[in-house]
Amino acid sequence: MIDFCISLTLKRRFREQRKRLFRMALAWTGDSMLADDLTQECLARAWEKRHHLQEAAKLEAWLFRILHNCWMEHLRRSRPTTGLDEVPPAEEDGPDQRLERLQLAQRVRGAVARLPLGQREVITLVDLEGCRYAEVAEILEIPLGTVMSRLSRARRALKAELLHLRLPEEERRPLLRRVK
Amino acid sequence: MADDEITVAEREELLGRLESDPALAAELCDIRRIKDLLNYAYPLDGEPAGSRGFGGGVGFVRAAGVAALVAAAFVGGWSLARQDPFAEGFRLASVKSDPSRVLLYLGESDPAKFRATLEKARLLLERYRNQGTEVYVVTSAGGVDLLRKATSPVAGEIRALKERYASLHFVACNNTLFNLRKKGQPVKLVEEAEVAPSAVGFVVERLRKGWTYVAI
Repeated sequence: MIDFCISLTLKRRFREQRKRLFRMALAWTGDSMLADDLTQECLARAWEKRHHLQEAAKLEAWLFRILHNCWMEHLRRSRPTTGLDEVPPAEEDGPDQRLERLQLAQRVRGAVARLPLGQREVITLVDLEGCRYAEVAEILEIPLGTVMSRLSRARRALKAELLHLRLPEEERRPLLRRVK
Repeated sequence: MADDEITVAEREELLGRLESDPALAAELCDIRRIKDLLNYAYPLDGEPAGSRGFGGGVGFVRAAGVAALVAAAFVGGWSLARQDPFAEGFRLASVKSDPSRVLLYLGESDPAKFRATLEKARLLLERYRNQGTEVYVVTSAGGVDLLRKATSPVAGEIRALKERYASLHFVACNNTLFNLRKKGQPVKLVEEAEVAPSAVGFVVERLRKGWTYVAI
């Protein structure tokens, strides 16, 4: 009976995390169908391994770690010899894509997609999920210093792209203007 | 500090430095803006269209549509309405519209557009006076020049209109002002102006409440 109640509670908590897992998968992959697949796979695998969950309080970090593993396995299946930081950014310079780039959310997503995969994972875990650096290190199984350096590089890259985003008019205007 | 990864003592020390170190303050502000942009681009309620087993997919598509339309207008100066905003302005189909509330958006530094905006606001307020019409003139990018003391050629007209119509409001985007300040440009606004953290956020929030949006 107790096991049954625990299972029910866990199932409910899994359901509550679904949207967050999907959002993270979307930010990592840039593909809603793939993100949906990874979320499903993550939840199914988490359910199978639910007895391995040591601390209920760490459920979210545990799920993100499984999601990360699912994503890595997917990449290994499709690109067996490619390293994490070598996954090429999404190409998006066709005419249709240029139109899309005019759209704010699309432009932000485009900038995220152009980050190397390792940086993309770190900045989305920190900025979207509010994960602590130590949690990110645990989820991605990388040293704390790597978390910080990837975060710093990701922010520098996004800053360079996103600060131009809203100012197409201003960038073309001279810095000095005649004022009466 | 932006990620809440420092101790209380370190935070106090940094807060002290922020006062005297504008570059550090700008860096912190940039990080927060990036966080805001990421959360804007990946809303938690965002769901894939046609997602298996997820509810709310239509909501995501709709929200994305709004964001796309508004963003397109902000970036490209695109307009859905050129005549009567009540008849042709953009509003959310999913929200019960309130036809007496209108947002006029201005994103270019163009004196002719400044005057067109004020004239459109005046016409709306006059024509629909008995309906309790409320009009917000929302500016960002070059459009904030309408409200900057140093650049506005129509400050007198703004004051006169505001004195005549209490339900007319002028809003400047703080993100734009922040960038102007960083470039050393004057950002003092006319007294009638209010400041919103982000023009995009301001417009989207009101669209969700049924306002009509018109880009000038």
